[in-house]
Amino acid sequence: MKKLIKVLPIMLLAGFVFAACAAPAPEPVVTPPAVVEPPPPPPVVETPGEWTPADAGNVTINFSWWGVEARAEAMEAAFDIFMARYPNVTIAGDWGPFGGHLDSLILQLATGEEPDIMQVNYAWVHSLAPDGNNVFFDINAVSDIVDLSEWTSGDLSFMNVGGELAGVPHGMNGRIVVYNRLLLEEFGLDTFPATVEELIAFGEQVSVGNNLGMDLGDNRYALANLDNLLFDLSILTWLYATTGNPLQQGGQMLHTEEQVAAIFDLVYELQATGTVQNPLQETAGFPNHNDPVWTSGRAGGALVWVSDVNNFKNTFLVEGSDHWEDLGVAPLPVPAGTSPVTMQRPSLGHAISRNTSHPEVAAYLLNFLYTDPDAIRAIGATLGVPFSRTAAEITWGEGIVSDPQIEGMEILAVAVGVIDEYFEDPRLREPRQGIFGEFRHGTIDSATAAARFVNEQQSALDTIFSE
Amino acid sequence: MKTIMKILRRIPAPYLLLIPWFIGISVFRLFAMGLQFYYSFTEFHPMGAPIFIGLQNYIFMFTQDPVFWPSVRATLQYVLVGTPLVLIMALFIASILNFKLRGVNFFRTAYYIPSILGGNVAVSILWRSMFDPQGPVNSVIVAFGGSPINWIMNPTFAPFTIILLSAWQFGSVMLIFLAALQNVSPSLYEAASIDGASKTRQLFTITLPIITPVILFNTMNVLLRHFQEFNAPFLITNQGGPLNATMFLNLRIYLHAFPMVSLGYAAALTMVLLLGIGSISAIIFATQKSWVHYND
Amino acid sequence: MTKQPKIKRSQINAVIRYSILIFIGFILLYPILWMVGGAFKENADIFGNFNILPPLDNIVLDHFPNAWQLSANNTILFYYLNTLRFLIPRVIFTIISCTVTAYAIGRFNFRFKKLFFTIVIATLLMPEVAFRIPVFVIMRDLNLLNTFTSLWIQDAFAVNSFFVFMIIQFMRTIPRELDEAAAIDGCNVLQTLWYILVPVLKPILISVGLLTFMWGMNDFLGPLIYLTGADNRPLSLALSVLIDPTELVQIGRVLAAATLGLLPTIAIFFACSRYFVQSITSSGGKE
Repeated sequence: MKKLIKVLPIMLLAGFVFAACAAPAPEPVVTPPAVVEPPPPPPVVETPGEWTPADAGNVTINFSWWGVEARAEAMEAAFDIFMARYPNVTIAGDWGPFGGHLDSLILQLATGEEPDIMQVNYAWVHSLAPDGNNVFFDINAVSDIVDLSEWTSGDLSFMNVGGELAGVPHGMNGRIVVYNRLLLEEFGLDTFPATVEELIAFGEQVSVGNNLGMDLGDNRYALANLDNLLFDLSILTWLYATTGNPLQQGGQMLHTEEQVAAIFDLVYELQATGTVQNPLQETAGFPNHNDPVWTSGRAGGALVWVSDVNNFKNTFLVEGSDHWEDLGVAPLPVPAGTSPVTMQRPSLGHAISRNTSHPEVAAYLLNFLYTDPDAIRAIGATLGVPFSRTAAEITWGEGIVSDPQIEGMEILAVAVGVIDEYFEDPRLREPRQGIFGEFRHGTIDSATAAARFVNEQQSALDTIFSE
Repeated sequence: MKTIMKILRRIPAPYLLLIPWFIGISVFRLFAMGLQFYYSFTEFHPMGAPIFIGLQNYIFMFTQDPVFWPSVRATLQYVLVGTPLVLIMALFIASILNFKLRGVNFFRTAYYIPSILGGNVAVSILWRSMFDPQGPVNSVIVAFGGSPINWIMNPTFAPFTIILLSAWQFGSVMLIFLAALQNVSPSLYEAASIDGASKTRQLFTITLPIITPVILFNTMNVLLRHFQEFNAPFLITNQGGPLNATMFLNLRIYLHAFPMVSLGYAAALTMVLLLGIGSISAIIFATQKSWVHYND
Repeated sequence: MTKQPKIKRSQINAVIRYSILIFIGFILLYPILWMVGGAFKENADIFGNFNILPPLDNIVLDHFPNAWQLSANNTILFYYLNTLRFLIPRVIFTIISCTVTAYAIGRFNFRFKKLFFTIVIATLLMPEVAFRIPVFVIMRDLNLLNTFTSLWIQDAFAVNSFFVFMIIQFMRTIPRELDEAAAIDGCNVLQTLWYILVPVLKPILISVGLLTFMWGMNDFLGPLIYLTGADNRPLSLALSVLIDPTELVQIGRVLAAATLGLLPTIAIFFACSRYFVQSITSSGGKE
């Protein structure tokens, strides 16, 4: 409880910053969530009106998401509660890993075969919108069923696409370092380095004797899993730390080639000193909590979404064991002389299909997941830490948000930079990934990489903003 | 109803029987081909309608797309290394099997199995574990005193991981060669032996010329298969990685068409792939007069 | 005196040949054997060695039951059945449409016969990629996306010229007098096909069916594009998720799932291997 009180004001502040950055003109209505509000209304669910899904006849709601098994179990448990109350409604869940999820969602949307409710990434609702027109159901149209007062208008504005509400956001997320005390102590460190220079100093020691051509199971690194995708976020963070600017604003790149080249030089240093994996040392596949470098304790730390921290805790050293006492969390190191910053954005949200035959039932289910105490308890922290009012009250108040996540949220709240909604757009991300690949394989130097970075991003932005 | 039957009766039987084929060929082949050509000049979201944009797709492809040339290079490398490898291996094994040996049927079956499994997703999964830095392939290399190879993450070796998968599937090509070899009349060899020709000489002067039509057939089949490789680079090397070393055009077409929602650009890439297939086929067919012998 | 070394040489030759054959055979089958063995191993025993058999004191039997439950909601049987839901129509329609087409072009004399045969030959070497995008658009406009129909509808129209050509070639070996005799006995055109030709064509038709089946089992791109719903997911898509060990730590379970995924193909292959060898050789040898 002490921690909660400590964190809440910071979160509020963070909320303000977000609202200011993301929404063009947000109404300054930030009612303090939690604490002050009286406990939620009696457990009778039918808050918004007389209509309930019981009146809808036999319907099936298809619901898709990505995530790990724990999330799936939690979602199914919440569905079971709903289906027990409304036996005429069947919820068919479909889930899989994050990799490939967007590809199949795009095809589903292209063909009008998408599920009734979809877990969506904040960036997707924007990048999937051709010409800036929302492709999902406008939640405003069912605001009599979905209680939108659960969110601040600033939070909701993240999901605002072309004047429509494309979905409801769940909570904030950013990547932080989960570190391995055992390896740090071996090299006389008691906490994770705060600057990139200190990180490199640590990396030079830890990587002595590494095989540079591939990882045969005994290489050690200061920071694991920094592949092209995670370098993407790291470079964004370091650019923000050194210049104070996000990647773009209104379709204009804000960084000069010199500024970008300086960051590429840093990446070169990290890789050349063995601090992070070089591309040949990477594990094939998505570097997640099952990455052997992490699970076998050969990394000083890993860069992890706060919503994902528990998974990394569970796979550390022995699968399913709780090694929290050997782990800690810290922000991503930044270049010396700059102040720490953690780039963040809404973790995910839920959207309703435009083609659904049962928008009311879908909306009702959505509202249920965000406001019903039993459903919130069933979901727990498997979707991350929620910021909608009732869900935040329950998860924080009842101790559902547990230790690594609380500390992770504190880091998020301290130093805030916003990941803009086009950062993850494939049209921008793919060229960046190509440049990182070539740079990290050593086929281009930092000046060339920086020049291409600025030019290719600008031309992709021009395409997007000319639509 | 009766009049319809009357009309149908008047149409000669073969035309009636060919109605399904005629629909198939005209809709799914000829019409589709026209569309394919047209789409390459459009901007076309899978949800929307094609918008004509002239040559823009091609201009972007040749002047700006940073992945286009790497993917052309990867495709050509795979085709030009993989195709001869499969053909030579298949012919070599077929010539060993083309002798009266006990248990030939057993070997024939054993060699054929990989070729029916090769394209399966399960085999891609298997391949990825086999070629893991600590997988069995490297274990064998180490056991023989070599140093392990980074098969999947190293841009130099990743294409060979996929070429080896293709070579593993030489079985069906080999069986076709074997059938051709068994059709070569033994009397030809006897005559050559009497003339004192060595076995190697017989191979080049008798066997190969006789089976040239089959070599042509197999070459075309293997070429087409290699030009259209998809599963392996999609699954084994993480969608064309590392550093686009396995970004084959067919994979690139898929990535542009669906994940990157640009059917028009994908159609333009398809035209380039077809041009590649067409020109290599044309070279082979143009030269066939000089090396393919038809004796009937 | 001159003959003795000759016999010896042929014996040495035989030994060399057998050694090569056994060596290559082992290399070719090793991946499959390693996969099956790996399905009984722990991670630590899978990597760092090239053994096929699991260590006798550490045989893991859980992987197959775990792999059978391929996803949280469905067993692998569900995905097998989904694959069959497009594969069975595809096999049946391919056989019927290709036979009828081959019959018309191969057994009748009519004005455009030559032209039609040329079209069959010309489309023989058409790569599938040439039609992928337009056919996707056609399927979209026919509202067939995310239906199993989209994966077999083309085959009902004899688009596979390779099979048409194969059957035409095989028909040439059947004397025309048989057709004429049947016609004199009062058979109509279809009866002639069914009673006279199909019994003789049976082996080649089985081959066509088998090849269609095998290629369909391996089809990944088709389902990837056309089947987007969870209810329709076939085996190839369900298996492809396993390659990214996102949710999986036990490689043994992945190898067990791969083994189960290949089982139908291997079983059918051994049940019909006679037809297989025949189909392959007849497709190429006749050229």
